[in-house]
Amino acid sequence: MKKQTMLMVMMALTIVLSGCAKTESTNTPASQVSKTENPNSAADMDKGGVKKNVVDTSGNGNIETINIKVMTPDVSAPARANNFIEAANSLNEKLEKENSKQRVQVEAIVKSVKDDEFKQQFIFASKSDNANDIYATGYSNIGWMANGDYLLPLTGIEKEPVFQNQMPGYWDAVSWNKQVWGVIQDTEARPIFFNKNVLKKLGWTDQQIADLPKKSENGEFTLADMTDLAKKAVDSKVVNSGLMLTAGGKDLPVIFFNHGTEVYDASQGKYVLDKSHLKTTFEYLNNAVSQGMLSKGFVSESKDDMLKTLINDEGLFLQAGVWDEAKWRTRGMHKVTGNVTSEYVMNNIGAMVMPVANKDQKPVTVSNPWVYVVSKDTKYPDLVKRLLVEVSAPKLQAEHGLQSSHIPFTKEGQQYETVKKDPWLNYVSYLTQYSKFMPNDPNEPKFEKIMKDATQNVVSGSMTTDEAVDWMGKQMKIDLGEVIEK
Amino acid sequence: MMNDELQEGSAALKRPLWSKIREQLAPGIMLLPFMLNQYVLFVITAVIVILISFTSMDSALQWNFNGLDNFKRALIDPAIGLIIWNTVLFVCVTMFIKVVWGLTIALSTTYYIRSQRVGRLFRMIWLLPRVSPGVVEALLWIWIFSSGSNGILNLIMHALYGWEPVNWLDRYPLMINIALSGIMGSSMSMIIFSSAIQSIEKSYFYVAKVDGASEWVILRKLMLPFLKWPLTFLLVWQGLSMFTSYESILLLTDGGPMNRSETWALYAFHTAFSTLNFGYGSAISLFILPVVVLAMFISYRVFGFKKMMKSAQSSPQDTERKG
Repeated sequence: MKKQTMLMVMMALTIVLSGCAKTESTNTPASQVSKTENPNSAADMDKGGVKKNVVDTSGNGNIETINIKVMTPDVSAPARANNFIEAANSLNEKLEKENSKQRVQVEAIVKSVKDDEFKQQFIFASKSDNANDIYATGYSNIGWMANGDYLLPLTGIEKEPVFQNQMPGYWDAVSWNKQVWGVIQDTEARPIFFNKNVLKKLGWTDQQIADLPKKSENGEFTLADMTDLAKKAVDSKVVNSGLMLTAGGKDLPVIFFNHGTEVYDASQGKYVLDKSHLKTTFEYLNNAVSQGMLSKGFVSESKDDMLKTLINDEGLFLQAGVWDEAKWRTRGMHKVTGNVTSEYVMNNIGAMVMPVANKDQKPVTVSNPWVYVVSKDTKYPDLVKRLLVEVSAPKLQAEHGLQSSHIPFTKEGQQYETVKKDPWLNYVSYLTQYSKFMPNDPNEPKFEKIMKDATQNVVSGSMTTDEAVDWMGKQMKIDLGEVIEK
Repeated sequence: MMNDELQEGSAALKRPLWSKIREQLAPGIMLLPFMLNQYVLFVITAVIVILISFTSMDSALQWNFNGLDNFKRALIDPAIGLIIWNTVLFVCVTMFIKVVWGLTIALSTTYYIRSQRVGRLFRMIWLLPRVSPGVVEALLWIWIFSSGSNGILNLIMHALYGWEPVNWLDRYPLMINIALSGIMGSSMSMIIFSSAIQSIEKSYFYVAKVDGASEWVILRKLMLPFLKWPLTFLLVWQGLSMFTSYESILLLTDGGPMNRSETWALYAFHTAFSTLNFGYGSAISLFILPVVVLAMFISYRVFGFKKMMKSAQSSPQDTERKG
């Protein structure tokens, strides 16, 4: 009897504890979205889900429903997939007018998948003929995806009227090996956010604060000035964190570009080991850490924690993305109010381009536009291309931009009424004129890791700046092949 | 008697093949999935990994053979030195914790705690990590060592000593991983040691007590010699599995920061599945093979594993005959 009781207890415990490891279902049932419903509700932010548009075939039995799957691995911007619901409705109206027997039913999949996992899933799904038709992803994945023969070339799509006023240089981001492999989905920039209340505590007037973005843009307020101010804020115990830098694959390069570091020679398709500028950047970061303005572990620290620090007046400067404003609105980061409004952000937080390291230099930021790519195995390439045109409509760009604080990529999108009225997007959209792109070379993920590891080695004291540069050189030669040394 | 047995044996040999198959059908069916795994799937996988290690296969998954390039590359990889050191530390210290901690719990709950009921209860508590998923364990440990002010250890240190929040996982990544694997993994050694201690003939203890042996002497001279084989088994079995396991590290620190908690198997995984360098990742994973073979050879010869296996293979009849 005792044994039976023990067995029962053990079984119950096993079941209870096993339940804790419940994994996300990959077969989430799709919810149907009628034409009158909004496929992009605010409640979708940070949640996964699958949605389908309703295809009306009543009265015409000969209609063929074409199923097209769209997937985004980023739940913080669900409109990247959900916008296809409206795009499909729009395309179906056109197909009806053309007397076509086909109608498109889109399955919009919003699923949180980490970058590494996304790459694996994409490769294995593609190799086993199970790839979705369209994927939303960062532009820098285009190199290896195209190189691996996973994508349908989209060359020619750039002639579509909807793309005629696309921001200059953005076709380069989706081009590789003389072909166009994707269409831009949005853009953004990585500014330096500053806390206005902290500046006031340091004696700044409202006018001085209002003038700061302009001064940073024209080089009157330099990187050294920002660093000194961060030190003053920490020394005078106004804040614990003077300067917070984020170290994502596209975030960390900003400080390197700002010091004039060259990373890639596009004409030769090779990475560059720019020793002197790498060393200058490492020295700057090392000094910032040793003087206490920058955290020693900043490379591995959580960006959400940094955003909380800034919105709660506990930090002065933070390098982050313009889209992070949406996180303050939706992720309950403020200690008193939880979520804050856009108006609150505008009143308490400012944004400026990263101040220049040298006065005679042009400011720089890095943009990581998201793109749509198409699987080469899609059965309906023409319909998919037409869907991409529909989803790039200014209205849908604006919906995504407003929901997730990203910037539309065409002039029409940026001048769309709701975008023009949005104070945050208006405030930060000028930053994109200073955008640089990391290369979309197939080896880009490896290079980003090397740069991050070298930085971490320097700021943690494991390597001197010279050792870190040497280490980068060795690792680049191993991982990236031939590199150009400068 | 002997002749009868021989005749029965030769009669069995003469039986038709179908009869022999039918006799072994039930155990054969039961063993089939495992045999399929061991002799088909495992072999196919191993062959594929070996072949991939001689290619430059990357995200494009193309078979471009490049000879020994991947193996040469591993020898000059600047990360390798640290990774070897991490792996040796991880395997040795974790094994030490597993054995010492498992033995301590086993001795306490089977010998020093006289009540079998209480002993069983404690052992059951220590078994809980075995039935909980690794993800849950890792999440709990992340919560304990969280760098924020709400991390459990930071809360305690602040309450006791007024410490500012410390990023523990960043400061002591390997040590925390060793602690997690060692403490959570000690339940396996606890089970083996417990059953070994319980199987010692009770009369030995009575005789030792009558002879006036102290508890220390009983432990050292009576119990520990009986635990030689279980200890050898644990060292070989768990030691080898430690070389190839990386799940807990992946969940807790993902090998970082700066490879400071990266072990060999995890590096192979990261190289293949994070940087999509399948060729180089496969080559790295193959370096484990000679280490495992060497460890098996040493355990077979030096630790007397051979003798233990022989005694396990001997049938009761053999023992009887020898007797």
